[in-house]
Amino acid sequence: MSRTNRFDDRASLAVSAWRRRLLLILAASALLLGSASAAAQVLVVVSDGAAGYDAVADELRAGLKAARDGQVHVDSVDAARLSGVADPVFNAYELVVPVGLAAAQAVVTREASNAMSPPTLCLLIPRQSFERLVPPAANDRTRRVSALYIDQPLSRQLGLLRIALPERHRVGVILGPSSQELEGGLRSQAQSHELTLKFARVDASSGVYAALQDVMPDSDLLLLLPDPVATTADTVYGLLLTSYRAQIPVVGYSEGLLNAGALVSLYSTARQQGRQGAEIASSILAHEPLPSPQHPKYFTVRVNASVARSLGLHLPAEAALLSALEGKADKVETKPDRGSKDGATPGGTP
Amino acid sequence: MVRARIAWIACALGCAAGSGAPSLAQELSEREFVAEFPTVLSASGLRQDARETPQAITVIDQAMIKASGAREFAELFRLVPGFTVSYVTYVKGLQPIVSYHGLGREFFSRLQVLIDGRSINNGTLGGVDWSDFPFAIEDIDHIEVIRGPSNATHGIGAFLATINFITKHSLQERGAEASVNVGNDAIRDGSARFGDGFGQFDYRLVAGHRADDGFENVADSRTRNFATARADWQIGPVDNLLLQLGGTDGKNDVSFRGLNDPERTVGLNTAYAQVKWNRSFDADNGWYVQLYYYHFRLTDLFLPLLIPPGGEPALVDGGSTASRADLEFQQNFSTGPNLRWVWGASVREDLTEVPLLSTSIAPLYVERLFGHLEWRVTGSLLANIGAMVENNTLSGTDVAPQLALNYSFTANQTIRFNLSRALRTPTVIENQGKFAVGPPGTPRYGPAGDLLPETILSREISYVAQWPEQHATLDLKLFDDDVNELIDLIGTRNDSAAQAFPKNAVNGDAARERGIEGQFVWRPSADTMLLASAAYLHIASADLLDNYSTSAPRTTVHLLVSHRFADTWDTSINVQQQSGFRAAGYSEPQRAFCRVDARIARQFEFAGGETEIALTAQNLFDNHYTEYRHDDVAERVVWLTVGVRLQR
Repeated sequence: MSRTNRFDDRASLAVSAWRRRLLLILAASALLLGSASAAAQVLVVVSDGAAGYDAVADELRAGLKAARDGQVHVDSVDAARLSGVADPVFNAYELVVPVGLAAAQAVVTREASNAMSPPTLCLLIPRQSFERLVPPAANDRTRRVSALYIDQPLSRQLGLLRIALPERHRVGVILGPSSQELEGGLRSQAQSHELTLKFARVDASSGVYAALQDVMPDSDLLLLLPDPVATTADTVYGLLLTSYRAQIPVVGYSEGLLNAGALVSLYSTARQQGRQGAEIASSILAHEPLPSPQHPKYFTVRVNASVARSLGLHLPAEAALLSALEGKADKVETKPDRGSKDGATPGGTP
Repeated sequence: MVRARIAWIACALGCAAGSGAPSLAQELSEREFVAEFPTVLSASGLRQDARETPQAITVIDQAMIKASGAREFAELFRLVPGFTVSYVTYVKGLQPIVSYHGLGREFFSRLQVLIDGRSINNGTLGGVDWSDFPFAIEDIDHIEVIRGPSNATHGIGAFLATINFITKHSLQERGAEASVNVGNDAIRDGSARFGDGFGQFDYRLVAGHRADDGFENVADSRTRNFATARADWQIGPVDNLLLQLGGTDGKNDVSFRGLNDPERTVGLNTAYAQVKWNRSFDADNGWYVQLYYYHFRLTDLFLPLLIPPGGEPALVDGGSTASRADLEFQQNFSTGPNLRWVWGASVREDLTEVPLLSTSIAPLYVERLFGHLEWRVTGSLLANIGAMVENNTLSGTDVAPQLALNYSFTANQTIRFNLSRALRTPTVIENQGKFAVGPPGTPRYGPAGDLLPETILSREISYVAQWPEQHATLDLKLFDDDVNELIDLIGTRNDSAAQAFPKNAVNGDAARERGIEGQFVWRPSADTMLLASAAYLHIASADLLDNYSTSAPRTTVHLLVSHRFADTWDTSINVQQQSGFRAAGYSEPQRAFCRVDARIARQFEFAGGETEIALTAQNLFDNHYTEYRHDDVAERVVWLTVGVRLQR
């Protein structure tokens, strides 16, 4: 009998309550988690102590307040200290939420050797990294680990190019060792978006400039993809500067790139990740089946107005870009980020 | 919300600092999504869209430079409406002269010329040593030409127009590159560059040689060696340091102009150093501090052929030196989405030595304070309001204000009204009053001058239209400029009723310049470019001091077409037509002419690098028009270029 099935069985709730009471004693005696309590149901594992992960965890916590009639308790622990959490304590959680790749690795490693481990929802993890960690076939069999990816679906990224810069069809893409895995997907979707893609591949950061020179003559915009070799703090300055000087706008995937000088960026903020994470977590706590790994449905489109003006480009307003992308979204249901309690508005999320 | 953002950044910085597990180094993780990057596009470095600039602007980019077939820097300005490019063989040998709307003579050009923000106008006579740039034409990223006065935004000397050369960032040229030109007119040019970097530090080294024979039958050969080192260091997320150092060393032949001005060879040396610290918080907020030094030396020691009766031949020193130190601060910031501010200040020292003048020349100090506001009044109305206050030791304190309104009546059509006043500070030689008028060796003296700066009141109405789908832009400028207090040397006109003493230079003339000019740039495909420009200029002047009213061609027309065939062959053709004129000063009338330049180039891969072979012909039909002097006759010049690039 799988753990998921047992949660589906309402009759087992009383058993669960008894177990929780027992675990309270175990946890208190273990003194491993200062905040462990009887109501503990969700364990957030953060990749390290950096404050940024807290923004996700805070949003998750806030979003879970309404779940299970307000009876949800959220504990958190650093990935590095996870091994100190005894199996009985760990297994007593109804949901484990690793935030970031390092936390996901720590939790999944443990999950692989622990048949009783709770369902896991990974947040802030790129799709490629998640699929390497939990190969899709293996995951289908057990369905105990799911994820909310940090990256946007390719169709949404390409859709943004069409909507933001409809006159520009020739897209330069520099692929590093990691982003090369996206080439097939980009190629298969380019045609439906009326885009011609020009790829250049690099194996080391030092090759990025040559690759850029290679794609620029055939590109009227540059799409940046996350890659730990091709798109790094060392290469981004040169990529943005060179393309800007050639009057080629850059489309980015993060707020950092936008601020550095990309024309437009498509990304999900920490709060948006936390918010959707809370929604998925709530459904799991409501004993619904663990959903498939998914791309974010809440996302932000931002335009660097100064860069747009300098390049003489008139882009649709951020809100218009956002709602156009929401209309185009496939598979994932998308909703504007308006009306959330932090007052976020489309395109201007925190 | 702010806290969340700070937290996010803290996470990013933490990640960037390597606090993540080392095993993740090559694995894609959330770090790539949350990393902060240094702001690349600083407020002071952002290029302005032509529809939003307070003055008419022409941008010459790398594609235009290549297609133009220009071999030297000055020639590029043939592409710009209202500009005239001539050559003169004068005291320093062959000199290119670039002027906008005339009034200029062989030296003071009334233009501001900047290289990466350094003013290179010669401190002695105020002109520009166009042959003495310490880098090659390939090192230019783009050139911004501001067609109109812009003291408030481009500083001291931005009088009739401003030319701003922006050289390539160290990051833009990685690897090794070498190029050679060989042609008739004894053209022998070569340049080599190497660019590399480690971490956030990037550098480029450039060295080269330029040589030609100048005009036929005139002793005006030129040779130059040049070198520049540039480094760009991204110190942190917001701090960037630019370091540049370079110089030129060369010789010009000077032809025989008289027994006291014999044929000889003069030496020309320049050196510069620049440090610029740029803090950039985002595209609207930041500041920089810049310090630069520029040194120019003309070495000209010669024996006059005419020996006074009973006298001994005495060596004459016709040389000069000029050095400039300039410290500048500028801050850009925004207050809300509709108000962007710039303010700054600079101090400059110009030291000049001219041995022919028997007394030393006092240093010139110039202090400048400027401010500029860009106010987006409504979505379609943009106001630019600015002013510069300049104080100098020659002409005191003066103010140069500017007001421009850009109204976009459709998304792609803008009309601009610009009213501005600008100043040209007298050069030290003009003000000295002891400048040698007449053959070298026979200086005439007068007391130091009390000159006023020249002033211009410029009224401009411009129309800018863009067709984004066709990649076309049109820019038309209608202007009516009053130039007052024009300074000129007395005694340079044959019929001058003016007295040569007690001063050599006076404020004594005015000119009104009216006309229309425009440019059309069309890139119908990535392989094709068309650039057309034309200007009509009418100058009204009493011509009390000089022949100002004929000092610029009444009409100029320029057409440049380039096309790339089969992705390997680059071809371009360049036609220029110009009506007759007579530049101010010692010039002779220049007849109207039409000349055609053409270039064909082929690119291919060779030995792992990119190779380009190009053949360029200037004045293809060998039209023998004259330049500043009747013996300076243009001829056909043809050269072959071979360039190889190995990228890292």
